[in-house]
Amino acid sequence: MKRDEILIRLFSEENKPSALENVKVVEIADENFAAAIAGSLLAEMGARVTRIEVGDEAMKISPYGVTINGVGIPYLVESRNKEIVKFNESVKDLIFSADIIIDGTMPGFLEELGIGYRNVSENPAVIYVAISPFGHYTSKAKEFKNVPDSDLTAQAYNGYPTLIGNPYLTGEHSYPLRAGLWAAWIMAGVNAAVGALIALLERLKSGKGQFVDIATNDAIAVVTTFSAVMGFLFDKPRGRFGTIDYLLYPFGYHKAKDGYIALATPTDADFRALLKILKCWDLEPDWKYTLDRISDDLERIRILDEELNKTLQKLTVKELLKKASKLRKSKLPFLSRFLGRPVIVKINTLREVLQDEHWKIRKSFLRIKIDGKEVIIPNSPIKSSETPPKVSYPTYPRVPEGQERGATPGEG
Amino acid sequence: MYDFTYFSLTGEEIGKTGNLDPASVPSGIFRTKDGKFVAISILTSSQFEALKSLIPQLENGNRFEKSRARDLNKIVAKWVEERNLEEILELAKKHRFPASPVLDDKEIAFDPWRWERGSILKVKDRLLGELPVPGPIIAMSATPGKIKWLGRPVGYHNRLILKKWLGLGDREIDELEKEGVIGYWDEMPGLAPPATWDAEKDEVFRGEKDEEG
Repeated sequence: MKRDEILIRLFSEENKPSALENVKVVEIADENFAAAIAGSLLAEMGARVTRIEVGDEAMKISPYGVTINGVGIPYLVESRNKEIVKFNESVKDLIFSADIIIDGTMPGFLEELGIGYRNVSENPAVIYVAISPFGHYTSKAKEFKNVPDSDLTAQAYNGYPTLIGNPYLTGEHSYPLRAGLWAAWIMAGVNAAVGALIALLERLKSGKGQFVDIATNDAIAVVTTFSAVMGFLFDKPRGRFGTIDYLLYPFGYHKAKDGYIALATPTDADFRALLKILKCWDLEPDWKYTLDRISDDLERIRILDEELNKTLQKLTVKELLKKASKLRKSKLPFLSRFLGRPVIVKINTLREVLQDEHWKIRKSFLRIKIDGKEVIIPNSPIKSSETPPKVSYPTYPRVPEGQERGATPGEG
Repeated sequence: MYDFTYFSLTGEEIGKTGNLDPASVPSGIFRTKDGKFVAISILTSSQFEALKSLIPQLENGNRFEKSRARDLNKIVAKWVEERNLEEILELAKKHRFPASPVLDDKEIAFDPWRWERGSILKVKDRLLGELPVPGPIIAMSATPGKIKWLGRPVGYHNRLILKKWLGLGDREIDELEKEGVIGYWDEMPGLAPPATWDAEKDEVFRGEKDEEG
């Protein structure tokens, strides 16, 4: 049997148990999708997740209002494996007997409903995971407790857009730029799930649950580490770097004649190999060493950036990849190090990603039928051999009749 | 990522959306009167109504529709232009809609909230002295995360692992070093221990004692 076939069988979902079977999770997220993402991660791994709706707006939130049967895309995707019920007195038993409660509402809100941490921790084994902009403690959390969460505002408070904007625009044209996916919400959601699992693991030892608190306004800044340390050590904050890496050039996205590439030359030899395929030897004396190409000073690195871009834009992506593939290779790792090779990767469109055989084998996307229409849903990125994650939509959500809103597919 | 699902439903790639979150209308990063930036992101109808109470020109209609989204954003941009950042943040608190300043490295490093929460904390490191570093992202009431020590130069723990933990003798370790199997840091700034560091006096480096923290 071929290696690939063995691996496909190893990671297949058939006849395998789930890791979190019998773990009962209650998710009260409303329109906070960081909390819904946390619930999804646990649901994929087999936890029995009940999503309890207090509000009724989450399912209307969707890119350009595109919905299917009145349900928005984020809500549809994050309803994976979940049972969805409306909040009423009868679901309180479910809440008080849950192993994990995910709270994405504003601090204090569940308390008003009689299901806050103070109430549910009557069960000492409960793990309460809260996700909010500033968390559930500190003076600022109290002051801003009524300001709702959103991914964009969380990205902003994390300082992320400040770094992403176009570095070459100045004055009134210089704007911070958001990351094009829910970067803060995803990071917060993943860490909320990690926190829940750490608490679950710890509960095996102590028998006790605990309060796990995630602040979306912190989720990126804490993980990327640079902001806090540089802000403290340097006189000036970093400005906009766009797609240029703060540490080393080139290490980012560039335009070719007919598309975009990701380009990186981690070593001096890789950089020389790039100059070789671009026939740009005149640049070598000034930019030969890694220390020359440290990119913290954008004014300086701009000179090299503009020169390289001029040449890159004369070549198609295919030509660049072909030239890189023709560079001299050696079977000896020792020699390869000196020969160098730039990393050049084509930036695919969504259409190209979906056609890629690799992702088909890896089952990165699921195609489900909703009322006869095929809908593509992202699968879990985790592949595990014994307890693989499973994604299903046994009863995909539906808006009650007469309440449909937003555009239908194709009209967005 | 929801873009693939969007593509399957509409037949179109969503493309570049800039500062508009297309699932949140109006939304964007806008320049304030005092030259700062504010992010505003309206998700629900009640948040929309809250903002509309301040900007009556905002008409809901089908606000998520592409061209409507652009128009609504222009109205918000103009409104923001005439107000200072602090004023907008006060209004967000009072009227309950998502709004936030756009911070930079310095504002993050000196943000009192982050120090109070423990998202930035000072670590007293045996080798590097007292340094501010980001704290754990997950706050846990019963078993909180902790930063015991900071990063060590490459190879710093060679002897700790090989001698103390795995029981190799000094001669065997010297041999591995000679053969180039194990190695140590480059003397570049940031990669080496501080200039005042004394290898002879460092029991952890010599493999006699575990790190403490």
